[in-house]
Amino acid sequence: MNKSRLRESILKWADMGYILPKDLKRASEIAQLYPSKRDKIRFIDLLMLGLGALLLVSGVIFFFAYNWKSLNYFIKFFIVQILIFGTLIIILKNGIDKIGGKVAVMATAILTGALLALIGQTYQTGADTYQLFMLWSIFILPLVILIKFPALWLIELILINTAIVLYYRVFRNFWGFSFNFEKALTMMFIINLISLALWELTLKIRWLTRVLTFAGISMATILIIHTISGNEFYISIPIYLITLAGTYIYFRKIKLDIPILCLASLSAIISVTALLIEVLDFNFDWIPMLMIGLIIISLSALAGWWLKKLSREEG
Amino acid sequence: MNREELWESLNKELITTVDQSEKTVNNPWYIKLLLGFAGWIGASFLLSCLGITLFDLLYKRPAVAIIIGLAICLTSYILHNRKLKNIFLKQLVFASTLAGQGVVIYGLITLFDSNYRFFYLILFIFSGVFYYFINSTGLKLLSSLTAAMCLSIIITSFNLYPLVPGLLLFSVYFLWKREFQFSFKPKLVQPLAYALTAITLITIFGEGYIWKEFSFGITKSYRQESLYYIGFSLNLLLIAFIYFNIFRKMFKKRILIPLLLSLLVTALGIKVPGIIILIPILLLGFNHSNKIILFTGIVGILAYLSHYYYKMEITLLIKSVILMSTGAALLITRIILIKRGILCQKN
Repeated sequence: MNKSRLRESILKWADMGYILPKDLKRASEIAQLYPSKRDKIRFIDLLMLGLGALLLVSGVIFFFAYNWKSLNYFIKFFIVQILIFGTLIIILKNGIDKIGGKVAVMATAILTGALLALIGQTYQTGADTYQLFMLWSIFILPLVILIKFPALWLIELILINTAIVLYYRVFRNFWGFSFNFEKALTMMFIINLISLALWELTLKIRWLTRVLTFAGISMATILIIHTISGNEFYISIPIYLITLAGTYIYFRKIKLDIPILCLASLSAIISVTALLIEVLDFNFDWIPMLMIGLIIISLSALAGWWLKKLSREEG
Repeated sequence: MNREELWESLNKELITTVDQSEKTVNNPWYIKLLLGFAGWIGASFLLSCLGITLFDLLYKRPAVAIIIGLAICLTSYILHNRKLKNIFLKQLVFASTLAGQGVVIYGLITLFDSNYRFFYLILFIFSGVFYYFINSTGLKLLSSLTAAMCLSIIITSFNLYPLVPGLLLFSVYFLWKREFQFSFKPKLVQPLAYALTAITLITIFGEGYIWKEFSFGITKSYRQESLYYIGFSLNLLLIAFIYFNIFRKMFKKRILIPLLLSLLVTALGIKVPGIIILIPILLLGFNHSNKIILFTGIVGILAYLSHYYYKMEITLLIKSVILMSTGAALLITRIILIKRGILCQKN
């Protein structure tokens, strides 16, 4: 069971008087809320590695940013390539299964982008920014597939989504169709959905599933609110309804995940509120205000009751 | 270990006062968040409704607004203490209380429109008293957020704003470390600790200046300058104290090494304050198996680094030297610790 839920149980029992406050510390020890010495050592190890690498790489980026204009392009290429070479040596030494190797692969993926940007800048290729992100995501794709590291999957998705947004900024036209905000968001939604499906079929690491679902539900919600507030983008209605239905079927019937259902409920409450605001005529009248307030409270109470029931089922 | 197994273990150790736990299930944080957020939206509509219906009565009549707001809060207090089972009523009471608090705040603003410091002091006291008495985690959280913000603004109004981040971190550290040691009311600590963590983040990203907007009419006098430096020194002292405590646990029976290390880290904190404040939060999250705080620490550090890039006080060169040397020092220390067998590498 989740340790934070055990903590909540202990506090609740203490609040109800089932455990005396003086015994709280002992109870927390019995529940093993605190990590063991071995866990602490592993965490410190990971923290030193992660934070050390992060600060070092950030420092290098800051240094480049400071000296960028005054550096000869040979030196620029040399520095970026030597860094990539260094990360490759670490990968060869550690292998890709150890955390050190995985962190090095991530650094390689990030530096690949720096190298591409440098090529574009030096040779004045005339490429648009979206092409940089698109090429970057294509180049690191083999690494993403090879090491199956969730954080790298996330970077890949961020790159693809950024490429889509930048494309939309540059071209308002896509294969003859008008390319606007809602279409960019729809495309991002579809790509995230495909990634989620791929992810669920392969590795199924919970936090990434949640991040992807969070992104998908948020995009569908923005689209439906966009439509409700008067924009004629009616495709968002089936998209939204299918998203909610799909979320319910998959995360309730197939693989119970209450935080995702919680998010879907919140999305439904927000959408209904937006619809009510649009439908009811306000005109500084207290009746619609009271009605909307009470409807929101009722819906949230209903969602809370349902989610609590599920939480009890889950144990 | 699940809930039932935990209860059995506690029973065996004879630290439970009853034979069987009541079949109540705690709401996980995300359900609380949903209820709180939806309640907050609902409250804004109720408050608007109240504002429209009572506009003539409340407008420029602060005493009436305060009395009506307090009456709503008092009703809420009574209802909350009745431990309502009906979730709709709970949500309604939650939203109404927020609306009531809104009316009180409107009354206070109107009453003390010329004396902001006094307004924040009264609001701080009101939120503090409300926090202590109200029996709802969500309302406690919001009240403590308000109280912490008011206190930060009051401190800033005396030109002591450099003290705010250190003071907040110290409070966060103190509360989380003693999460299970407050014997008078166990559920009292958690919402305050979460609220203070959130305010610490806001302060870090505002670089301590976020409250400076509230330094009402401070002139550049010798006294004000002195207060600024007093705040600055106290802030460093508090941060050093926290790091000393962290290192002290690592190097048992030694004082000099933790002392030197904490001074070193604190000195680094003058130039990179955010990271130095976020690391103890990250460690607290891990040590207390609290995923929310751990996540806050990790995301906070990542976000701070991008924020740090745009910090104008120091040049990119100095920033890069600080970051590179700190990163390299951490990695070298890790290698030394692994070679000496202190850190195992079986991750």
